[in-house]
Amino acid sequence: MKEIHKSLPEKATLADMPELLDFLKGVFSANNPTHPRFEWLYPDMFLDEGKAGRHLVLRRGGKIVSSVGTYPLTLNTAGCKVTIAGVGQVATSQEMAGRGCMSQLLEASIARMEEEGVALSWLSGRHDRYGRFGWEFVFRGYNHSFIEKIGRTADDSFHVTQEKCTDAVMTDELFAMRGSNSYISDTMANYSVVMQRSEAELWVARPRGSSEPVAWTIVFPGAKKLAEYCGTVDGILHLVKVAAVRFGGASVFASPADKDLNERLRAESSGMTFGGHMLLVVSIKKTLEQYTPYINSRLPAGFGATLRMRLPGGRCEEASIGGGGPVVELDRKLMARLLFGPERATQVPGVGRDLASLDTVLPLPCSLPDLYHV
Amino acid sequence: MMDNLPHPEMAHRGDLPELLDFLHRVFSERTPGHARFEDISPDLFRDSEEKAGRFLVLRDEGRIVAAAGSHPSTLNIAGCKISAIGLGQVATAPEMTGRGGMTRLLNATIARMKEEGAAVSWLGGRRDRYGRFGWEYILSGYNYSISEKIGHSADDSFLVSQEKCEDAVITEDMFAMRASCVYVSDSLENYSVRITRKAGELFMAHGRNSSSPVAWAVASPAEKRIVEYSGAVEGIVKIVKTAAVRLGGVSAFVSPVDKGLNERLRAESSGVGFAGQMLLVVSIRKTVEQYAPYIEARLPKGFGVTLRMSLPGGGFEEADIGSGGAVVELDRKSMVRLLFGPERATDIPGVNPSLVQLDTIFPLPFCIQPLFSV
Repeated sequence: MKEIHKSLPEKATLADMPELLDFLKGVFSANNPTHPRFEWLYPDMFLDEGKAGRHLVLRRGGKIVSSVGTYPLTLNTAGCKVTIAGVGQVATSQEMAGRGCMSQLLEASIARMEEEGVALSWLSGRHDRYGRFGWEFVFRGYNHSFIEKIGRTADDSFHVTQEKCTDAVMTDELFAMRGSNSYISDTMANYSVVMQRSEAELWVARPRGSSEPVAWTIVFPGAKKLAEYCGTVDGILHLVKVAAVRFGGASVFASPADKDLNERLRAESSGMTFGGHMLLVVSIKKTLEQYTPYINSRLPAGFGATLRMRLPGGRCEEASIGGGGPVVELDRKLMARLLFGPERATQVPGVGRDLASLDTVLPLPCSLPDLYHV
Repeated sequence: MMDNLPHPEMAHRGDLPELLDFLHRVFSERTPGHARFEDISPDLFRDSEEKAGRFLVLRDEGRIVAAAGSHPSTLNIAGCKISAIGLGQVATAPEMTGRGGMTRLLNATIARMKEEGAAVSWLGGRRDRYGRFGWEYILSGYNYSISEKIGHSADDSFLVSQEKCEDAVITEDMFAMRASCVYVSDSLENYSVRITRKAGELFMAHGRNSSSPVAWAVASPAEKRIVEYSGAVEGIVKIVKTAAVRLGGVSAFVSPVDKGLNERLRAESSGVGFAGQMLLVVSIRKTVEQYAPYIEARLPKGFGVTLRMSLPGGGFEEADIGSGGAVVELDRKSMVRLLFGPERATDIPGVNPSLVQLDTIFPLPFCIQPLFSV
């Protein structure tokens, strides 16, 4: 039986970044020898004291032996502003595996998210590894793929410029266009670094004979993927098609909240799959509060329910839909399924068939652009 | 161009060798090394007039130049019996490509499905190729992956035997166990051939001191996949874990309708993914009629609606939910989305957002176990 690790989690500082980055590279390279360094994957995440402090670490003999990053974001979707923290860079040194480091850091990270008033947390890791902490696999949206042949159906109504994001200038005008679809709030200064992830390129579509952009996208050439996009539906569709021609096929992920774009992509794509991600309901109260505009627009007259979420340690948290009503008591994993689907509310274990009106309110849309994945 | 095309004709038993050679030639050109269809799906090419007659072909100067198979089945799901036809072995000789042969064959095949009283049709092909005929992508269920490590967590409450399906005997008792989960009706004789697909293996779980099986499954070792299962949930989980150990990880597809199994696999899997299926509503009347037990169980009191499906050529077909009411008129593709999701009914373009009661009825469940794919 290995001895349980006992030191306390501490926030990393800017001075710790070189050690943390070497540590992460070492751990991730053990399973994947060609794993890129994290400052190349996510140059925006290790920049300053504030960013460094987003990582909790455990030390042994003064050396980092385990780490977890939490990155709070504001998702703007379906008229709601939702605070959501991504979890990433979860790593433990091989010699400390099995000693509870990861549990300690993840529990501390969840407590930190609660303190910080975050509504939700998401990650893209393994179901069995993170499920026991309350993250659950739920619906994210639609992944549309385009073969090169379909790309060639693009007409010549737009011309597209392409440049490496390291050389590109994000103008105020371009930046303001991000409100056309679901997007993550950001500062222009930070975004200018975020968009340099994974050797990304900035592609801008303009009507022939005009210098006014109608749509633009950040493209990951290695993944043949549009990692973020904004502007008119026609412009975005044109960008996808151009990418399909240039890369020999391309894919784009769309949130269910971006309905017009989804319809166009669905009508023209060669393939479509359903995407999911792991979500944790950090706070049911914050979640319902922040999704209020969406919920109220779908709430049947006179209907209400009270959602009670069981938390570790015998605690629970409650929030009401409408003016409240019958209590639905669920643990964190079931609450994530109830709120975010794709199951119908009444198919989630613990939800009575008499609460069929929840099916008209839920699931809520939650989808982060690939550009912001951690 | 289509005027010069021959008319579709039904294949006969004597055509099978030529048909199989033709299919192998066409599919091998796309995928060198493609297996012969009598090896992939021996049950579909059994030497009989009935099986051969499931193929419509086009002939040019006496030779087969295009083919499409349609394979009827009855899906037993959520207390409903659904007549569903799988479309497969769709092929056109390279020299015939672009002349409209496939369009003619698929239109004839859809007309035949309608004459035969099918409710829906499914296939596994490309959206852009089949979408224009009305097939649309739906969410059919969950894919669970179980790592070898998780497989090792199985306790020893059951013994699991394993043998090649070509050597195995499915007894009537075992065959009757198929009703424990969503299943496709079959004869024992045909099923005994079907399970030999892809060098399938039969896994059987029984109690330590009993020779009676509590569960069994057919696995495809090459795909590391459970392609059909039946019996007690605990027994199926034990088989999945055993297969994960023996095959170095395994995946299993589960319909949302098999709730007990879904919950158990979700709780133990290392990964969850969403599975999709292309589906066509052949007849809205048959579909609503055959799903009546499921629909009636969810129908809000006093609610009714009339679903009108517009058809190519200007016609339409109608069916009532409840005793009918406001008309929802959709084309075939939108009708599939309305009926089978995963979107909420009121998110489908063309559905009045005031018809929120539809959200409590739909989506209907539909899935075909991988063993029955065509």
